[in-house]
Amino acid sequence: MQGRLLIPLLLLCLLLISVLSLFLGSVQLPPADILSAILFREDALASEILWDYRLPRTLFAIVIGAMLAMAGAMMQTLLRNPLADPYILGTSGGAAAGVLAAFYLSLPVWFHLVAAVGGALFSTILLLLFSGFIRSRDTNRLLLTGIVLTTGWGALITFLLTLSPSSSLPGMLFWLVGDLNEQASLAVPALVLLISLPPVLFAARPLDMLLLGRQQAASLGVDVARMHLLLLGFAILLTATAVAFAGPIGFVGLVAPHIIRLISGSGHRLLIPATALLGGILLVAADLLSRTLVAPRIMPAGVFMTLLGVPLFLYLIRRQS
Amino acid sequence: MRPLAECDRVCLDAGTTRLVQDLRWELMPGECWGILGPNGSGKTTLLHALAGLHPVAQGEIRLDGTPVGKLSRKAIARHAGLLFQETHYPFPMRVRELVMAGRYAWQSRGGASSDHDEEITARAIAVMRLEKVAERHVDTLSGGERRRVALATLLSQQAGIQLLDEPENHLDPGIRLKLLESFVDQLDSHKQTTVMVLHEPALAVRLCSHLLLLFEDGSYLAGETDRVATAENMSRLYGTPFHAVRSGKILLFYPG
Repeated sequence: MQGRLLIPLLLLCLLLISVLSLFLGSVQLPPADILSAILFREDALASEILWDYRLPRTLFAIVIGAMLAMAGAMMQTLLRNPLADPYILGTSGGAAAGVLAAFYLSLPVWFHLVAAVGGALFSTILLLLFSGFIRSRDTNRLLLTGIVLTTGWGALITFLLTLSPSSSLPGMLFWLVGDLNEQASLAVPALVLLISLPPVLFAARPLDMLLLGRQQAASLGVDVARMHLLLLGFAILLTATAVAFAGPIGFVGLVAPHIIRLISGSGHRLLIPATALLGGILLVAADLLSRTLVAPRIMPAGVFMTLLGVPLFLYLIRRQS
Repeated sequence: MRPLAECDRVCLDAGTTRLVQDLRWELMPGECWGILGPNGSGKTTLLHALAGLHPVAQGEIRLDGTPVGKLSRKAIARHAGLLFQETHYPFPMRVRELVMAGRYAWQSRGGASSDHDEEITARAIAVMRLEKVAERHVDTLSGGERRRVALATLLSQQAGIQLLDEPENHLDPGIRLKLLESFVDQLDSHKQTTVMVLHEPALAVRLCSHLLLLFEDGSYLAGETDRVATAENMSRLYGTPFHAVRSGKILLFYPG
């Protein structure tokens, strides 16, 4: 499909699903009330639900989904492997362990982000060291290393949860499975997303060439080390920010880039923005399901993303081997 | 005329093994060099060193007078382009996009491709007879077609030195010679030169004006093909007796 069509189409889908997300929820409101809340802010209850709850939540889901999807696409380019995803490779796990440690030590909220970046960075360095990413192109080794790291972070998280006072457990658990309830701040994730886009888009051409392999790209004139640093830095920053604010939500970074590549190929100029848009769409949809399927109860959005991602991942493994 | 590349007492290592010892070698425009040698004699390593992808243990490699270490990746890519032994494409990419990737070294940062780039790309695709598959994804092509895509990318790169690592890989015997000849024909003999690592002495004799023989002990012999391509040298090179037969313009070597 032509790029000219893809982006407007995705924008349209995002708009539709967002409107749907404003009209539907765990509390059923008549559409007329919502319309009047949008237009005149008359109905107090509807206004409150819409402006204080559904709208920020929808925007939050868009931003977090876009970040996770972009981080996935960047990890896939960095590792030259369509199966790479921050969630599967332990980056999210490292960030989550960092955040929970910060929770446990009762550190101030702003420190959660620092802890998340630290955890994600540490986990990714371990991954690169032990998977031999630069020299080998061994998918099995990469995935195995990632899975072992994820398991390790899981154990550490359980350990921290066991030590934590029972009063804070439900909040921690919900955060852990990807919860969009606590949209403490939209500004920070949105800012991180906005500063990540231009440098990645500007490097679209050399990033495309990175897909040919480290040496091939270098022989064509690409400064490979710089590109790797760019990808790694922003993938970690995006993942850590998303995790710090919304918990570790898996598989957005796997599903969104995969679908975009099927439609429009691997060119980063289109892949990055289209993937970000699709990530937003997917997470708004997952969140919508989580709010309506078992209403009036609310499920964490991460559950639906994982339910969608696991079959696709299994399919991709089968196709790769 | 200034050499496109000079090796000044170059030593190359792979791990702790010394492969090439004290190599002094100059590449002049219009020459076509064939590198022959037994497995593990450092043929590929030498090509990679010329492209700045492998460090020299001692000595210095200069591209157009400047040491490789002082050049940016883009500058190196304008001096030397490399055809790898094997290429892998794990993501879907179109043939035309790939051939266009060869133009990267000549474009400004984040630069779009100009009409001139399009023209060069189209010509490279035509020379390698890829018009029919130009819009296809490269992962759907056969091994030989992919090899031609890699050669076309190298053509569009328009580097001073074309480094070909076993270019005959995956190419049908029927078109092997023709394709490589048309590749060399496309080059500007005033500004460009070719270096190819080959396994088949006969192909080297047929295509190359000069030969560089890399012996197992790290020594080498460089010179014009007529002078270097003797049964005696081949026997010493491969460590087994070789005989030569001449039929018209064709010189063949066979062991035994």
